[in-house]
Amino acid sequence: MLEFRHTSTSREEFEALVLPHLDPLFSAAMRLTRNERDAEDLVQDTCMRAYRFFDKFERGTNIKAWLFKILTNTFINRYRRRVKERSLVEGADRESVQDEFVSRDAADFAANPEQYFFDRLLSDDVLRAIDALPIDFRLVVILADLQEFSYREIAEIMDVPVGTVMSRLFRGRKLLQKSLRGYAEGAGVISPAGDPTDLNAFRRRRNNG
Amino acid sequence: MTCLELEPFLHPYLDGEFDAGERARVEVHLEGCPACAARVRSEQSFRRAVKRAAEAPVLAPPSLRGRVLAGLHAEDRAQRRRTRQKLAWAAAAAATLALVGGSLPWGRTGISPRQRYVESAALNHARGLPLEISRVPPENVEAWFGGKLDHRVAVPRLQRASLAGARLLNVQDRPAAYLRYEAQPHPDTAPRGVGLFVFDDLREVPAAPFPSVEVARSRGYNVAVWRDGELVYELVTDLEEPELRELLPPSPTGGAPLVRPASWTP
Repeated sequence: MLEFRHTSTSREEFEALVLPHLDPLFSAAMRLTRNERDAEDLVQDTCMRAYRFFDKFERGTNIKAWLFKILTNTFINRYRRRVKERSLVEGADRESVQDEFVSRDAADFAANPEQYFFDRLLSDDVLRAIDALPIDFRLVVILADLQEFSYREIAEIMDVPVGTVMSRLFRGRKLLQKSLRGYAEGAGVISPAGDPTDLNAFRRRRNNG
Repeated sequence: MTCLELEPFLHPYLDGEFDAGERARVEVHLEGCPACAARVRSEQSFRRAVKRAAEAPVLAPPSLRGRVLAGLHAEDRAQRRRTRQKLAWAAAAAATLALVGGSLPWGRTGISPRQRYVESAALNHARGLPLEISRVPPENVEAWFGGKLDHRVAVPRLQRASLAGARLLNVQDRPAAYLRYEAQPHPDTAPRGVGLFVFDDLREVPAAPFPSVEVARSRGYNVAVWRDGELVYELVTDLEEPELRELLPPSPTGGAPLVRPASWTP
């Protein structure tokens, strides 16, 4: 089997194409690994694998998406095994996420200016909330909301159908919003939202507003 | 479009995944529905917060760039090494084929079997190992070997030489009788040591039957080889070949009686 031979030209081309993406790669790696040392190792491994398979990269296509695909695969194959998160991902959060919409009174929602509390959150809190997401949701939120990849690019990167990207993104964002609401309440940015079935809390909120 | 119909498309709409026509349909609904419009504003507020967080710079440490560049360099070197190794393997494989193909008569070492026995005899003679039996007549030496080897040992009567003693000593992996003589080709020179190995061999060592005697050189010694039936004789000495030939017995055993040790059975 013939191996891809690196020439000085391909080395220069690689450096020119890849090095500008070190910051975004490291930023995503930080969110994935949640510590600087693992993040550096992950980016280093990603770059080495990218270099080894540089002949597989179709010139003229999106190098950033290609690098993020390698980053994602490297992370899943190597780093994720250490973190026993998967069992938490499936099942548990699904129902609570979907309940929220159904139980919310649309008119009340529209009247409540606190719905725009997100604008008043600290970036550090948002990042902390993202870091706390289960990995499948975290990955898709990182790719969509932090790196601003399109659904199709994310589907390509994660090697799943676009429909899976959409449902994971929907659920991931709902979880994120839920935990941000917790931050906001803790910081006094908004008053605690009562249980929707708690009529007294509902009336109190009405009277105050 | 109803609120329920909009629900699954809210995110794609906000994420900019819709084309102009799809966006227009969503916006028509939003204009007439304050609840959905409020939800859109809330989602936009959420997106702004995440975008702000995303813009908070998380920069790769400067050392990482250096690490990556060093990694690329190391990878280039490793690849050149792998390439060289592959070439070396290919060359070695080709050389092995050539060697095997070119040296079939004598196997891989390129040395004939007889030469290996010649060298082994010269080497073991040169070691000068102590004798196990000495200062006794040849008959006693022949008796001493009885039962120690699978073959009988007749001590050849060498010309102008006397038996000094004997011991067991291998030639290659063959157990052999080793006889040591003191030879004095000329009366006015000092006696010289001569070793004689006797071992049994059916076919492997190519040696002509006595009285034909071939002389080969190894490690500064002359080694004379001859065969008597199933026994091979190797005589090792630092004497020159003409003097060596003068030592040879008139017959394989030099006319000595063939003594059968009591323990020997055919």
